[in-house]
Amino acid sequence: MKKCKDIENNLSLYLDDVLSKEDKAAVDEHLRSCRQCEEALARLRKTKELTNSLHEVEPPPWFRKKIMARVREEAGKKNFLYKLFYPLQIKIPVQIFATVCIAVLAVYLYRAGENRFQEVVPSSVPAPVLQTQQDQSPETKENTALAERTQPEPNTISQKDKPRESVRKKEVHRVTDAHETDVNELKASDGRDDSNKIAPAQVPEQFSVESAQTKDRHVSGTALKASVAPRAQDSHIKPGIVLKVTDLEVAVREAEQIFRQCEAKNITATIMRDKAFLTGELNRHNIKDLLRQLSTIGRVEEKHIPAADAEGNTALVVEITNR
Amino acid sequence: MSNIINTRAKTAKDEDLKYVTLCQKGDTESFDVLVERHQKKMLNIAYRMIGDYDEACDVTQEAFVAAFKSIRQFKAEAKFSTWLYRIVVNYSKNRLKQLSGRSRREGFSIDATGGRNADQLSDQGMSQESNPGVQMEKREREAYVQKCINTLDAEHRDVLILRDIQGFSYEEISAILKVPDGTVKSRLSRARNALKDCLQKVIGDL
Repeated sequence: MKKCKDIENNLSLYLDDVLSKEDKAAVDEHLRSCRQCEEALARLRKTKELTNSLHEVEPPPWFRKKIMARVREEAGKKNFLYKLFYPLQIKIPVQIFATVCIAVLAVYLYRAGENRFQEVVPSSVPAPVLQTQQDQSPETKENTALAERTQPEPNTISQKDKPRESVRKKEVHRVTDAHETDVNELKASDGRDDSNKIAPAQVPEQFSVESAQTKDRHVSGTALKASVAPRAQDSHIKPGIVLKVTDLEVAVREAEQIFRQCEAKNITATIMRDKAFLTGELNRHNIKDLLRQLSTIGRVEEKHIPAADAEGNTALVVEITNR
Repeated sequence: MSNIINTRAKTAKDEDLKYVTLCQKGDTESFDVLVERHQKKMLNIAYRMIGDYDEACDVTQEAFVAAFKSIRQFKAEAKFSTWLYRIVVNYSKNRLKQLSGRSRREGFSIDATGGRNADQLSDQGMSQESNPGVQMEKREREAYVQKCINTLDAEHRDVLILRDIQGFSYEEISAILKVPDGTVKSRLSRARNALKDCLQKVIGDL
């Protein structure tokens, strides 16, 4: 015979008549002999009746309309999103759609930027100017721009490159004009204590040194022109000829005379502590003669010599260094 | 195989399926038929779960809107009404948690929220009763029963309401609550015993 506790657990199922035959028979048998469990069943039955008798509440009259109004509102939102993201009736996840949009935008921006860059800086700009613009620090860039303006235009630029060259020159002139006043101030400040106007860090070191040096070492007369142009490029220009001498100052004077004898034009000279640059334009036929005469004042090393059999003038840079 | 047959039998009997399919194809107005059919049962489940008429109306609306929003996910593996009642039971449980949290913070009971309960709504269901004394007695008894239901845990409360008030079978309750049949039976047994004890305390001898 089962205990009352076990029977009590089954009373709920007994009430619903869902017990197995064996369990139902066991409960029936127990109830016949246990008044306490019989009373518990009666109370349970009464509880069930009470809950069963709870009345049903009616929905308010506006209830259905209100629900449908909200449903229609949701349907409107859903349709808007559907039209926005699935216009072709193809279910593309939003993430993929967004990724494709970003990729297309990125390619478009990249191409637009590339075109603009090509307009400003053509790819076939002569090496010295382009190299100096790319490699130099902002301070030396200013000097390069100034030097470019003052330096004679090389004749090696072909007719095809001229339009691009003119664009490049315009850019360079723009930079140069912006810094013209700085250069004038530099000139004016020569010999004066005017350090407040231009910070030392902004003034290229070689400028001040050069302004002192050009007083006695100046050879060709155009002091600023001669000093600035090769100076800014000295670490990048590849000289056509390297001349190794014992006395730098004397060698520069002699080399300049040799340039003149070879009918060179636009001769410029820049002297630094341990080397000097001499540039000029001369006829290609005179190059051999120039080399021969230069070998009388020092040891000549030919680096980049223009072809002598071609016609026309060419720019030539001679680097003169101490042995 | 038998599962497939059962599913087919269920779906064949499901009179809502036609309107559900139309809704899934974008016919919003078909949902009106489903609301009309199930609003009363949905509201009564929510009302007995929460014990407050206004809250129950609100929860029922929310449940219908939620059902509409996710109607494309309904796969007809069970009856639509089962799916719908599951939504309203879950929404009611969530609302109960919110209300009990709020009442703990603000220090008042759910009955005192100002909403309408069984006492105030008794005219709706007892209008056919002519004797005012009997009406009053029945109204009081219903209020006690609802108060005792409110004392039950949510997991006991939903089983008791679905079985003893709404009259669902064990199988249907198991499908609505997504719990095994044995769990439904044991929970119902505990719920009835707890309610019996509570009513004995409140009313006296049953």
